[in-house]
Amino acid sequence: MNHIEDDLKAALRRKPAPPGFAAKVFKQIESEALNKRAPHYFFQSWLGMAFRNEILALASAIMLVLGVVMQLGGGQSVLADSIERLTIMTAVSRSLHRATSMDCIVLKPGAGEEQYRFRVRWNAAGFTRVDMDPTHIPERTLWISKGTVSVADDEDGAVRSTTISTMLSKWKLPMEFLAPTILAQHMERFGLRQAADQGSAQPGELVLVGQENQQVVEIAINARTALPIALKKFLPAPVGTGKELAGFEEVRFQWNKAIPQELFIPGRSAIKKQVH
Amino acid sequence: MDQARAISRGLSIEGETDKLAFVDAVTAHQSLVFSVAYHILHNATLAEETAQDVFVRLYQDYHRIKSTSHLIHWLRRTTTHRCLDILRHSERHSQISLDDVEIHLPSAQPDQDPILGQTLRRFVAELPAAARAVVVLRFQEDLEPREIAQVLDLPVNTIKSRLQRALIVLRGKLASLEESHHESHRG
Repeated sequence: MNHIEDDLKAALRRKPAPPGFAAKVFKQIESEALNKRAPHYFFQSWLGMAFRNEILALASAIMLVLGVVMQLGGGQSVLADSIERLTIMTAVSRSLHRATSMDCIVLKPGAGEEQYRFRVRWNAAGFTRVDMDPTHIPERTLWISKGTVSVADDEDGAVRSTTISTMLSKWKLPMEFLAPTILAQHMERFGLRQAADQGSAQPGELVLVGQENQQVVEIAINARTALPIALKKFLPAPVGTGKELAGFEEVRFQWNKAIPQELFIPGRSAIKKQVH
Repeated sequence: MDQARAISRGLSIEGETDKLAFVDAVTAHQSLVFSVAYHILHNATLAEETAQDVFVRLYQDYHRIKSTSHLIHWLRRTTTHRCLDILRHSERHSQISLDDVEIHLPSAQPDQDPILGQTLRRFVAELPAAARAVVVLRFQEDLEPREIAQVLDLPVNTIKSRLQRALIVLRGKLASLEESHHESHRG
């Protein structure tokens, strides 16, 4: 009985808000803004807040039109859906913009049965290093900084430089993963939303789904940091075949871990380092 | 800490950055607002609605927020007063049924004694509304009587006496409960 104060502290410990609470708040604000007939201000301001890239101007316009049309048509569920997507995209995009380092393994399909494997490492100073599985591409390492690409010659180790726009097409395969901000731009196009089936999620993960062209995109994010853990793209199964989606691209990420600075200096450890 | 820094940075700048900071504010303090509302109202649905209203009001008044500590004070104050208004209204009109059903939201750490915790929350919910608010601010938010007085706009001595009385009532209820348990075992 003497410890009632400690017991009260334990009993009245803060409880987490219900799932989706923040999204409901944003939706309510949006709803009140719409009721005041100020939808343009709301959508433009929120999208402007979330993403500062010009590429989002189109998405912004689509969201604006979608929101207004749905409000006029009474399609509240679609409106809620657009807000959910916006909330998720905001969280992921902001986390990516705050990242201090990225280390990812990219598996990409090549011609025929070939599969390319890249390891991409990026640091906050703006340097990117790409290591390639040497099976299919002789040059093994690229260093990219400020639009310049340096490549170590496989035979004599000499470093040659070029610009990104003129680099060989085979090296452009992992382009969307060269930096978190570039990745964010691509992810914003996916229209990510929380997957209805979270069965594949590991503890602490949240599975998001979206679409890019005809491909289904599935991304597992860390539920605490909102940073991507794994990204998979699936080809649609042929209609009427009853087959499941076929995975054809996969990326696994590690974030904000120390990466030795010398790895980002062109020519250093070019040959010895391999893709893990 | 990142969020707190982001909020602090955002608050000193007007415009888009404010909105960015607002998103952070909702994310960082949703648990504070929901929990204060839940422990005072003892009704999860009502607490969620109240917490949403508080953040909508925050959005409208965000230009007045000057710092992170000001933000937290504003949230505690607005939430508590809103809850007390709801309770006053419900007592007057008996339109709102405050349930005493325990909700089982996951806590950061489990209660050491879940039954004791549940019992204490029920006893707190049976306190008069004004005393309940003081107890929640004291033990959930870990505020000193002086700080609670600022949140509730009341003299410090009033807060101290309410807190003392509330603790006496809670101790008494726990003692009665223990007594009845002993009697049932003896019987």
